[in-house]
Amino acid sequence: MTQKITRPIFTSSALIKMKEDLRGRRSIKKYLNERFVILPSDMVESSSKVPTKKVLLSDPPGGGKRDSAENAIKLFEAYSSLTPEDASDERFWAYLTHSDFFDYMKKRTDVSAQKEEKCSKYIMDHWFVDPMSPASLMNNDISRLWWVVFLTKTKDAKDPYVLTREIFSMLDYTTHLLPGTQGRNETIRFAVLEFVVENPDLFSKNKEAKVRLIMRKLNLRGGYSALSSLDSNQIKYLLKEAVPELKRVIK
Amino acid sequence: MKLDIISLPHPILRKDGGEIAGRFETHIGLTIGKEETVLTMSQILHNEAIQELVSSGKASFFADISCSSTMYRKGVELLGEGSGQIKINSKDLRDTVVVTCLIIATQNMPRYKNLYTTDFFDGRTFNIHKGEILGYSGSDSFEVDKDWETPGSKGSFFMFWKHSGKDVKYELGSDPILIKLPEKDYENMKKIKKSEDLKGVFISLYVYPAMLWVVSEFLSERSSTYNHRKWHKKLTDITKEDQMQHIGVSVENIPELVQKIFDYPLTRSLEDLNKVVEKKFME
Repeated sequence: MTQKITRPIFTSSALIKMKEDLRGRRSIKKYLNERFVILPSDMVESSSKVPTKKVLLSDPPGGGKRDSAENAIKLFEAYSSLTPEDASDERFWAYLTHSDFFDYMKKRTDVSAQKEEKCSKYIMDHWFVDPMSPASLMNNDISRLWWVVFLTKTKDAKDPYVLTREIFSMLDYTTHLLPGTQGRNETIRFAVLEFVVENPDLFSKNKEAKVRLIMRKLNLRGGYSALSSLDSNQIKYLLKEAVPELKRVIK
Repeated sequence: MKLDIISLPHPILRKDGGEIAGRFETHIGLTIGKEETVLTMSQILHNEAIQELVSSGKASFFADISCSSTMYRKGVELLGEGSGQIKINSKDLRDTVVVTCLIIATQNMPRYKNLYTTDFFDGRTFNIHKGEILGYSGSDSFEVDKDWETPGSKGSFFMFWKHSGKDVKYELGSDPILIKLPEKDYENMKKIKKSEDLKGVFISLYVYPAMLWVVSEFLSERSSTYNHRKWHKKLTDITKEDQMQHIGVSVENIPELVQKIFDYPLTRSLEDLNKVVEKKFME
């Protein structure tokens, strides 16, 4: 059994300084080095009890899909003791991207390939979490892996990760479904993903546009209806009503 | 979910009635513990048609609780008269939590009608589906502060709550004490609270004046009303500290006591503001 003790995270003041340096383009070079040097004074012991053993992620896949369900599941299983409260702490994720997963981050999110004027924002988006915008937990390349699994793991004893794999088949879900008002509700989130999984023919083409359409329909309905009061079947029934329109979707 | 600016396909009953004759209000009490956050709900409903629907089980009170920081959202149906407790694991929450209070249809109603305040809707009926909103008493927000029960965490006597009124109000009957702010003030407070440069200003503007009043109530004859509250017990412990005893725990020393409790926030806020002004001149 993995021993669970507290682990270091960044101090709030260290994060403020790091972001200021990035805005002033003074620290971009640090992200091109082999490792990121963290001063002891920039760290504090976290109260979260998570394993200190290093999680080894496989190299990110190439091409358009740069995250894999396998890496996400591995990370989540290792950090499964995190509560949502712990897992929304920007200091925790920023520390991990700059320490344990710095190598992975460099491969996943290549700063050297960015235009100079865009580097700072690129690093801020992928290495940090914006506390004023919780949806940015889906932008940080490590927190996204954990949160996607947390939000999609089901109680299915045979395979609890069916919906997780569906999310990683199209990362548009992490922008339009998971952090949105409707997607934050488990019943609605699961119903949408199950509807897509259960209708492979319908979603075999133009999936992105079709999922966006059903999200627009649900958001519209959510304006005058408490969707969180409906069960999974009732939500799927609403989605079925959209099938004729979905069939007409062309890119 | 900004229901206030959405034009609904059928009229809904609001706090002041709106297009429907009557009134719908929700009152929420709040207790935040390390393990559990408890919302105590009670409703005021003055509308015969909806009252009948609730009594016959065709409609019910409903609360939608959402916390964007932890991607939490849950809907809770409140049976009967809509009073009762909603318990949430505190580890599911961080920062701002929004509670939206509604009356919803629990089954399809092909010919819903009500008593309207405008002629436009007179005699009209509506085809209502299960889940659709019949009443909306507003959205309230509160900030979850996890340091509340930490010894020595003096700023956490209070919790901020957004309300639709125009005045700042204090509610001692909750744990922690609620500082209810009008919507615009609440949004500004959130920004100031998160700013590292304005910690002293935050305490001086929002916490210090509230604490002056709390300590005056604590030292009054009404104090015993609140002695079962955690904030009351915490304040009792603080006033026993040597430094407080040295100042003298009495009504005339309240400003001095409160300044000591928060480590002289007025001085610190002037220092903060001075730094901001100097920074401005440097730019």
